[in-house]
Amino acid sequence: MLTVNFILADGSKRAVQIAPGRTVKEAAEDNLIPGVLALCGGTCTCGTCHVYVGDAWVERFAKPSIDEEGLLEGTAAERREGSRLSCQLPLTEDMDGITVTVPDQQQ
Amino acid sequence: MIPDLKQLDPAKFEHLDFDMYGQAIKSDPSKYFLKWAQQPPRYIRQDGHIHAFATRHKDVKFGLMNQEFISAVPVPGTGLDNIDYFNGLPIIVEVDPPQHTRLRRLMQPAFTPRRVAEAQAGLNALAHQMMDQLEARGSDIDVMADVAIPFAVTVLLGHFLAVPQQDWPLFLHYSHSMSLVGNLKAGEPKPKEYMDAYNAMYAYCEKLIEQRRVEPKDDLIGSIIDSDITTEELFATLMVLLTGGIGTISATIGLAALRFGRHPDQMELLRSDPSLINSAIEEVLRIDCLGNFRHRWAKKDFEFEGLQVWKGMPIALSLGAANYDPELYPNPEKFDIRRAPTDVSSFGYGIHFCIGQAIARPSVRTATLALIQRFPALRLATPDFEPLWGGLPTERSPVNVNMKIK
Ligand code: HEM
Ligand code: FES
Repeated sequence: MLTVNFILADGSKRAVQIAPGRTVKEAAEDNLIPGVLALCGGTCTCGTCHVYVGDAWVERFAKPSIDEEGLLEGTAAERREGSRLSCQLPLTEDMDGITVTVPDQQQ
Repeated sequence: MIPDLKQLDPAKFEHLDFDMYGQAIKSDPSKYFLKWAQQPPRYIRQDGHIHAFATRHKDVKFGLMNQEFISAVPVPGTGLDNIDYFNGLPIIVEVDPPQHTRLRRLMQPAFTPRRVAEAQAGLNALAHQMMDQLEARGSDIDVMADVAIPFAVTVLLGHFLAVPQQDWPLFLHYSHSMSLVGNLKAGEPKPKEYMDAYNAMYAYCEKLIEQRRVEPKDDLIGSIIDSDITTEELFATLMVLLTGGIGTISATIGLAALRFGRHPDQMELLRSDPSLINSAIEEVLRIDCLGNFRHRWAKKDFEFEGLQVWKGMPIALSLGAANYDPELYPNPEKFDIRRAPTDVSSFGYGIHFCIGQAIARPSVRTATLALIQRFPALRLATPDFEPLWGGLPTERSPVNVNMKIK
């Protein structure tokens, strides 16, 4: 198990546990983290699972695909350095302690 | 090979006389959905064809998301291939990747928040302008003809696709003529009226591409044409956006009006606290899902939660029933605008998840709220009013919603 530290839109913090191999979106969903809508269910089609991955962690994930890029261009909250779609972020053992900020808007 | 009826366990069938496309489910789906939402996958027979039939939330979601066993490409001869609205053009909802990926990428630029925000900015003004016109008339209105349809047409053609108003008739004529091919048998020739509308629209798209290559414009059509798009693809893209949008948005506005008409207490609650509008429309989308069913086809033999499914078998997925799952939505038959339901299946899931939802939600919210706020006396024409039901066979779309506003 590894810990994901969510920072919610209101600034509050929630630390959750998840098994490696699962995605940041699943970590949010399983723990009822508000603000990650993930309307399409996780197929990189809706752009409503947008999160900001902490600076120290963002490089650890594979680069976004063309389709993720397309959706990131059009997220409801502003696109920033660490912007990613959380359904496209599988977690690995070495990401224990990762911080993920939830934007204030998904659509 | 799909076995025939006699070889399958009768206990695994939904009632054999049930008509998935009949008036019974369109007029009162809740009595079916309440039961179905708790039943595992089984078979159903429709027009002589055996389908796998999934109705629980998790099974519907699986059916729409799984790409290993399940395809969106219709298998000919399964009773669903007679509907050819687009004269054989590749339609985004009926293709798998990689074709699907290409078509979806062509459409995606249309749905950036900038475009959606541009369209949204006009929604309020449009809704109130329409209410002003109603105000000046008598008390009797048909929400479909007087509000929902003109609102949806103007949002899509005017604000969103930004088609010059003089060209609207061409689009509307084609969209209207599509109903002429809905009930044709496979191979039957298409009526002349349909083919004329099709040819006119095709010529328009050809001209548009030529024109925009010479003289590019930064509007939605510009962003779609901006690649090496073919005439067929532009035609299909524009028509899918238009027809996918008008009927769905207008039907949902009509469903919302009918639902509030039947629950005056909830209408009053919304009027007194308009900040409930988002939750209220999610609840309308949940309880009055436009799509009773969507279809898919098995790519290979597989077992679907204990049900044997054979390659080529159609799979009917009931979006409407999924929205009545009592675990996700306690007392599912209760219309409660404070419920704020999540994971509502009305826009589908997976790679075909509705590309237009970002524009559909605000459109339905704006029109419904304007109607309710502007007319405090809003009520059904008669307390037991029941509309005629139309739309595609799989949809629950009211033809008319008669109300009084004064
Ligand atoms: C309340 C209104 C609407 C409802 C209930 C609705 C519902 C749906 C559903 C259930 C699907 C998935 C179909 C499937 O997986 O088989 C879908 C797909 C689609 N919708 Fe909507 N829709 C609405 C509004 C719109 C609007 C406004 C547009 C366009 C402006 C639109 C365009 C599309 C397109 C193009 C697809 C196909 C996407 C794909 O195959 O990748 N829809 N819609
Ligand atoms: S859940 Fe839809 S894009 Fe991630």
